[in-house]
Amino acid sequence: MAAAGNGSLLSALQAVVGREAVLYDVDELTVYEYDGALDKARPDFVVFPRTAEEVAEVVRVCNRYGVPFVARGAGTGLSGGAIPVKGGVLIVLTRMDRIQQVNYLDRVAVVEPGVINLAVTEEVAPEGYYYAPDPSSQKACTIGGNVAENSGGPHCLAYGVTTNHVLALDIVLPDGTPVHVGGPAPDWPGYDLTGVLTGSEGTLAVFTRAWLRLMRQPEAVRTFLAIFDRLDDASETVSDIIGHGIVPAALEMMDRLTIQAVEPAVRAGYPPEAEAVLLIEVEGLREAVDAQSDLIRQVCQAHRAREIREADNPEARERLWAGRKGALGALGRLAPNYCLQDGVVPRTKLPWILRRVAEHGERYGFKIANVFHAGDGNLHPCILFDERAPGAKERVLECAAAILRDCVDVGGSITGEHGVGLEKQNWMPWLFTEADLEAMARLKRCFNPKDLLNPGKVFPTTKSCVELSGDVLEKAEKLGIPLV
Amino acid sequence: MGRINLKDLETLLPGVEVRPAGPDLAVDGRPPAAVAFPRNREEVAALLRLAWGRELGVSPRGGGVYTHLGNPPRRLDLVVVTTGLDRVVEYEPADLTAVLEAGLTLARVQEILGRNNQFLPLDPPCPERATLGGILAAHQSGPLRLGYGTARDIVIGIKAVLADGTLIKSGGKVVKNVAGYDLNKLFIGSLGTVGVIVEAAFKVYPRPQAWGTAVGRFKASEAAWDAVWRLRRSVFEPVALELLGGSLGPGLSAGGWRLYARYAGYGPAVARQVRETCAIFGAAGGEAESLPDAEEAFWPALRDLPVTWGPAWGVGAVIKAGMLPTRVPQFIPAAEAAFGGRGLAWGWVVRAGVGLAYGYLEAPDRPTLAAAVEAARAAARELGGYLVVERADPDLKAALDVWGPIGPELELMRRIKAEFDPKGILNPGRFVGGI
Repeated sequence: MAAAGNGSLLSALQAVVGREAVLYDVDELTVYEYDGALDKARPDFVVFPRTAEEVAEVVRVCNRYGVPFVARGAGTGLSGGAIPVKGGVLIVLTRMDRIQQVNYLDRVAVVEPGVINLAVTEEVAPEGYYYAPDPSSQKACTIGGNVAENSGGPHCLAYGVTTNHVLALDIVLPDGTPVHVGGPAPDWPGYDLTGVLTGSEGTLAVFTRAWLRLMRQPEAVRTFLAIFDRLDDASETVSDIIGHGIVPAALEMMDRLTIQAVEPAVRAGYPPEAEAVLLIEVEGLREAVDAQSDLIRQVCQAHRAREIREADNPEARERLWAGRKGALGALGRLAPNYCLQDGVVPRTKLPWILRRVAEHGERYGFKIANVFHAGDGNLHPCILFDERAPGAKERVLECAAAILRDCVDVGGSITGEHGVGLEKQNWMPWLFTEADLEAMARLKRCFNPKDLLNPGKVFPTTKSCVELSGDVLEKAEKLGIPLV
Repeated sequence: MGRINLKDLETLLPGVEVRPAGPDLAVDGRPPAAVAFPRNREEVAALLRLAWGRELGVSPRGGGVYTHLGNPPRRLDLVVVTTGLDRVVEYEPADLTAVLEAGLTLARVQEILGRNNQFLPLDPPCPERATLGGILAAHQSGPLRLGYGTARDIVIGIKAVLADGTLIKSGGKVVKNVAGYDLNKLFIGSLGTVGVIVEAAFKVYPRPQAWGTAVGRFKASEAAWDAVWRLRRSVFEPVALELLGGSLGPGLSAGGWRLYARYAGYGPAVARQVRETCAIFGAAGGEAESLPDAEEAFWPALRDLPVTWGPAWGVGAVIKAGMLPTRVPQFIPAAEAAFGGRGLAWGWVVRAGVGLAYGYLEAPDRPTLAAAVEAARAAARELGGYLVVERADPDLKAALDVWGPIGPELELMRRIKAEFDPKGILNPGRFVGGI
């Protein structure tokens, strides 16, 4: 952005949200140049609105000055969705963090976008309810970000992802118009705008309020840790459990490398010498849970599980889950950097894809830890590397591309829950034809015709994949996009 | 009209079966000039390219079960019947997914999945005739939606032909997928106004081992609603919870209010829930019992009612009001005041855990019925809800607004229609706001 005119943009933003709610000092902006993915780009301004009206007014100011803007929650996203690749104004919604209403008989919570995912469940748990989508980052990530990315989580196997739990939204369109879409009443007449906005990766509208579906806590929960000496045995156990007609509440898998990282950090009680562990949770009415538990034990034993442990109290259950939810953080101990991927395959292809991941790791010379939602066929290979090594980042992205290409080749997807964002946009043509992408572009034009909101995401750029692997700043320079 | 010439169609699309349309294909009394029976998506695309070039009004049709929905078409030249698209594209039971062509009937799909003890947890009216494409386009659901959600919750991919004949897809065939915008949601419930669905991928489910139903009979609606809330606060999870009252025709009418809770899953768990539900209904003041034969008779009859029902006298309409579940107990007496004062007879089927009230109305004449519907709509809107007319004859549709007013979001919907079908050839006029 040209330096001239920024002074008046700054004062316009300050006039909307107040002086203390605008950042423009380079040192302060640096904190907002990255999210949970690899790419970085610095915004020119960061604003912290407190109300939907302020959001709308900030958006109108951006329109007036013709500067791009991007909405951001806690910045835990894993595909660069909140990275302001073209600079401009970053609208951080974390101060809009009120749970405005909870209605238990209707099973609805009305929340602002900056509310932390886990806070919803904490709010309603005493009354016996919870909010089902539970991304691993649920202690930090916000509902607004969850809706934008259509986030998943371990418990989405049985209950669906975010889109299955959002009933209605208040949004601000990229021209500054506030609109309400959806019910919360069911089957609201007209096109399902709530449905198309959920998972639109912050490129169609800014969300200022969400109506969320609450669920009743089950009568009984049982959590198992099944320990395996062979990775294949573990992944075949997964297919077999599903094949038996059991859809557990969660069915997670971690391999040896992950276990070795997790144990010293979290002390979840995973045996460090095991090749793989499965974390299996069943819930519901107690008779059904007992019957499913027996069957699951049998299936695990049939696939040579070395040991099956059951968490027999809430603390033990919490500890088993702490290992899974802390896995990514723990992997940071094994290498200076990691690249977390998010492929999906049909469930029956799990054993095959795990072997392929290992082969790709060997070929490119990286250690790859696997921690994933096995029951959904959603794998998270985590490629460990050191970005200071020359060419490492490029090779990592090539390795990731090879894994995701395999996923696509067996009928899967390049992303199950993290989003396309910046990182995977040039792999979209593996899945979609030009006509498919043009249909998505038509939808985008309906909401964001000037492309001021979160530009440069989701859709393929004209650049090749290899070039994409370069640093965003370098890329931007080549493209002549001034970032700072 | 008049832009269509059968000979032209036959010449331009050799091999595609095209015929003059009979009155049985009329939509709201408006007969199309021709009907086409494509056998695959390429033929659908060819038909739409031709219709696009000549700006023909096109109405996609599956089994023709839900053609009563929406406004009368502004224009109708060609009906495209999709029942020839009836292949199972891919079904891997162990993946719990199936890719199916849109012309398959739901009953046929259930039969195929049933061989592996699996099913689609959808129970819209008339599955013997209703096609997947029709169920998705009309976003039809049934009582089971309380437990399993609707088509929007189980569809993981869609292939559709857009108005200009372009074949596109959204999603894929894996159960978790956030690559690209979720256009599945756009097609589901769009009533054929943005494209013709030719194929869809679904999550499939293990068939429950057992089913069970408890019924409670209540003299007063207050007691029935008390039972609803007691059950909803419990740990029991009925897959359907339906409250019936008033005049619903043979087999379903009875005095007072009846509350049906349906359970599915592991046999002993179903048995306990039915037992405990009877106790809850009893505690709320109802006479409760288990209904072991409900699967064979009651649930199919209730499922099909929106299509099979007809007025016993006068003129009839089926309305659907949606609101938060706790508002329905206020809506019903308000609507009944509007009906009773005008000499209507009525019956209710309330999806009590969901927040939908289906009203089956009989009135002496159309103006009276139209006025009663508008009064009920005002009550629904007052409670933060909406009211749409699902079934009405063409003359009644001329006298009332089928969809009711839509808020400022209508502008976004118009933009969507303009982007996807700028010539307005697909089901013109039938959707909200005349889209």
